[in-house]
Amino acid sequence: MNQNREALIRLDGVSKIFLTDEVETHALSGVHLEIRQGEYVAIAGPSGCGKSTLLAILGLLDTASEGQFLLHGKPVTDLSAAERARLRNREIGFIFQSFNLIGDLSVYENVELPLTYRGMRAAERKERAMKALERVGMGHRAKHLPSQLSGGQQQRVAVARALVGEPSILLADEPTGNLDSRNGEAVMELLRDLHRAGSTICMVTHDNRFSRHAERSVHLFDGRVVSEEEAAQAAAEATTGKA
Amino acid sequence: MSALWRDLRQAARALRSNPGLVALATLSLALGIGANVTVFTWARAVLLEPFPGVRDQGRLVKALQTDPQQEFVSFSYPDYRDLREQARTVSGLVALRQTAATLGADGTSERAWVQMVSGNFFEVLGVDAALGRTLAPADDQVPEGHPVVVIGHALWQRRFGGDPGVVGRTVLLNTRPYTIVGVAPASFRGAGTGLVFDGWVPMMMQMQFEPGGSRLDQRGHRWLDVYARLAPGVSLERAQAELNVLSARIAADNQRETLGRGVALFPLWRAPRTGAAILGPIIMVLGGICALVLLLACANLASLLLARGVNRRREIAIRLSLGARRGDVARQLLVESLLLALLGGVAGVFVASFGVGLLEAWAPPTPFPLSIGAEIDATAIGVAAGVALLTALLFGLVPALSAARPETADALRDEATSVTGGRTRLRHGLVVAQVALSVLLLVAAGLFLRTLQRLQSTDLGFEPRGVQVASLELFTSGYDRERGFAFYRELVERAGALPGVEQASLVRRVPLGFGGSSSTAFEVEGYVAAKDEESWGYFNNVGPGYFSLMRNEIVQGREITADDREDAPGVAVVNETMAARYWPGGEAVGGRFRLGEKWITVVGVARNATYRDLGEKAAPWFFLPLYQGYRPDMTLLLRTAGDPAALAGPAKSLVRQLDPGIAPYSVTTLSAFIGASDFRQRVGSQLLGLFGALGLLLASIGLYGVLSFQVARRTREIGIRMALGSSRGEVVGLVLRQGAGLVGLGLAIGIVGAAGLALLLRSLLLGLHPWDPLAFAGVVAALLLASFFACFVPARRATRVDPLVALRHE
Repeated sequence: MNQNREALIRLDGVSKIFLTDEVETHALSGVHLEIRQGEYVAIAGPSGCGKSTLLAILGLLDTASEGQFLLHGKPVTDLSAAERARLRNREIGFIFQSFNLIGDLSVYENVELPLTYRGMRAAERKERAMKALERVGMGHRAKHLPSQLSGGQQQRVAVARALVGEPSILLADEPTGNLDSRNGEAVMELLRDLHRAGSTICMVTHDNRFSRHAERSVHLFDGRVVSEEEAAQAAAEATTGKA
Repeated sequence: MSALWRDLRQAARALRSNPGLVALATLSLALGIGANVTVFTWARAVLLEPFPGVRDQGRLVKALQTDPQQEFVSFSYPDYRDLREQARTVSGLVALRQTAATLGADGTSERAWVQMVSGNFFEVLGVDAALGRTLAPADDQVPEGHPVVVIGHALWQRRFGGDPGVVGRTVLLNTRPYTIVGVAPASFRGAGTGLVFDGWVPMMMQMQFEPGGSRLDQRGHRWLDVYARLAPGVSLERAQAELNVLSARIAADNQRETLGRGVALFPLWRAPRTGAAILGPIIMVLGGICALVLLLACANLASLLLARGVNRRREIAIRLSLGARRGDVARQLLVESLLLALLGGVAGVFVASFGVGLLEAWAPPTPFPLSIGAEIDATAIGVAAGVALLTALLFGLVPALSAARPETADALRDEATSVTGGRTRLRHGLVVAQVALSVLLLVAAGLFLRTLQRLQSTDLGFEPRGVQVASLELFTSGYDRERGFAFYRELVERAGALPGVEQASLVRRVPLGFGGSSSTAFEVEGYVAAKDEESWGYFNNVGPGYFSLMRNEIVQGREITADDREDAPGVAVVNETMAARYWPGGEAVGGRFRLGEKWITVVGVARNATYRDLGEKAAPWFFLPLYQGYRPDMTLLLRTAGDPAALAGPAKSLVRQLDPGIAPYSVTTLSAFIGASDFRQRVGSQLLGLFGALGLLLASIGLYGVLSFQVARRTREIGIRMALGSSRGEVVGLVLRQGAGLVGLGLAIGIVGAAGLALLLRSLLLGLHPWDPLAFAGVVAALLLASFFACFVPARRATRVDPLVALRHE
């Protein structure tokens, strides 16, 4: 890990407790995590370990029950819903397992959507949206509906939508979960390209094949961070057979 | 602006992919908005602006005198004149009387309706002539001295082709020449709610329009409608106080004839004995009903949109995850609601354009020139737009705000959708509200229906079935007393010989008809009136055999016969109330009372009947023989054992045979003729029944929707239950119990509300107990039946769940 890079995100002692019918479920317990500018971090772990909950908190879709969350060094825990929405719009780009494109909107309109919430002028929105689509190789399908695309193509559009606002960080939740291996590899290659170009990426995955694409893997178990390893270290251990 | 335009485009696209929702929403809203706009136009025409073309109607009031029994009566001309000269709190007091006339021009005659008016009529009402001039005080000075007429705009167009040279032409009114001095503007139809008049003549010409000599100097003869314009800055209460004082002074100056009379003033919208009094209550009730129906439609739509919001929670979560604020999402959903409401509003205006004519279509047969004048204009369209906007907020706002608050993280993952308890409770609440509102409408309909049933089986004191009527006006055809008597005798004799006719007679005012009533004071021989008491009664003129024909039982003495002629002593038949009041010892037959200078002997006592309107208080009545007091306006009565409608043609032919110049009018059955008496109850039961059924349909759809949604949500649970051994019957019971809970709660709330509503409707129920058990029980039964079917379909669907499939359901 390059310690010289600025900390983009910092979680200190973050816990998340769900209360359902008077039963407490500790989805996350005392998580400490730092993501630096330009890093590619994978969050791995078995089902139910709290990966998606952690990603939801990182993406300001959910709030921590305890602990502190700093974004660009500023606390976000006590922000209002409107302020969180604003940060989500400008700082975070989401890529979901199930693509989550809006069926009634065309490919272009889906990609343009985050910019409309910024009040950007139409001409500038168009320029940016088409640039994002070209970047993922989907510019020629701008007028099509999501239902007219394959799974891989839909995910590429979702990536374009995540990029269009030039966010500080891309959060990907099992981005290859609904794709076959060929398309999955294609999406992972796209993410690698983005990272090489300077994007900060945090990806949740349960598949070790894909977590190795990241610079650093954070392993969760039962809501706690049990280990962190650099990609180089993981590769070396894999070669030597050590756990 | 561009955000709004974008939301509109996306809303249109979203709705295009939901044609079922759009169709249901448009239909529900069209009926709800259309009904409300229709009632608004009726209310405006009847209550808010009953006199179109009249300046500042809010300052116009109707004046009525109150008799010692606090009944409202008309004015005599001397009383009106004295008040007009002395009153200071009103800037003008006008008197008028509407009457039918025969209008002759260019060799052809037709029946026309005119108003005899005081000279200041047009000035006080603020109406200027469209052509020529209006009547002026100078036209109202000398009895019989002002044969001038202002004609109505419609008559000018229809009869004179809109000829600009019509001023100065001569027309015949009741065979007398009148000079046309002006044409009224198109917007002005006269001073009569729901009526349109053909012309206006000076009050001084009364004798040429009303038989029986001059009434202009008879203080005891009350026959005029009086309206007043309040002086600037003067309240109604202050004006009434002054007029009361003046009335008491006039009474004191003239002693007996006006003893005990005060003056009551009413704003036009609630003036007794006007079209507003007849139609006003029913319009107000209809307004409330239509508002309820619209609320119901809104509740139904809100429930559908809430469900739709659940189905769209992923889309909404995506938007929120991309940085949309709750307000952005709520705005987009609200725009969809506005678009739905706009479609409903446009369709509603279309519905209203058909609905506005219904009030006249429902009106019972009437000899009067009925014209409600309700129309869809810019104001009505504005109301439709306002109602549409309000409904959009009512049914769209809560679902929009609710949908903009999903559990974003869960919604974005591939996990089973779950609905927050709050949103489910809201949908359930809406179904309960719809059921409750339906109960309100249906109970009101049931009460009106029961009232109608009672009315139709109520003993009126006479038998209207089997009687044909035909009204005649001899005065306007130039008949005098001698010719008139001869005409009547021959008419009744020949009518009695028509095939199928059992009996024939004549009456001046048909009971429960539109003819109004006359009352007068008299002196009863041997009766000592209490202090401030005036002996008075309503009266009617009847031909021989009237009581027998009408099956109105004579309980003492005899009825009017052919021997009760001009040269015989004056006689009368009184009703039981008059007999008991003025001859309390039970010896009314043989008693005498004095009318003017003439003594009248009571020869019979008739059983009390219903004379003026259903629900009236018992009042004294006396019946004078036609042939002892000539009346030119009588109605021929023909009783038959068969269908009375079959006598209409023969009756008309007979009259024409006797005199082609007389055109009978209001030729109909007596049952139809008195249809005005139960008009409100009939219309109420029909409309309320229609709206109640619509409400029940909407509530059933809402209930079906909620339960279907619940079944879909609980598919996995149902599968588990069945895998564990639950029978299909138990699954059906599971769903039905949920539906029963919603219906039961809605029913309970609705019954309580209906009990309160029934108390408000009491005055229209004419004696039926507002908590009539049959009405309430009938509604409960209908609701349970409809609800059972609404619940049963989803319940049966639940039994078809395959446990294996359900357990894999996500």
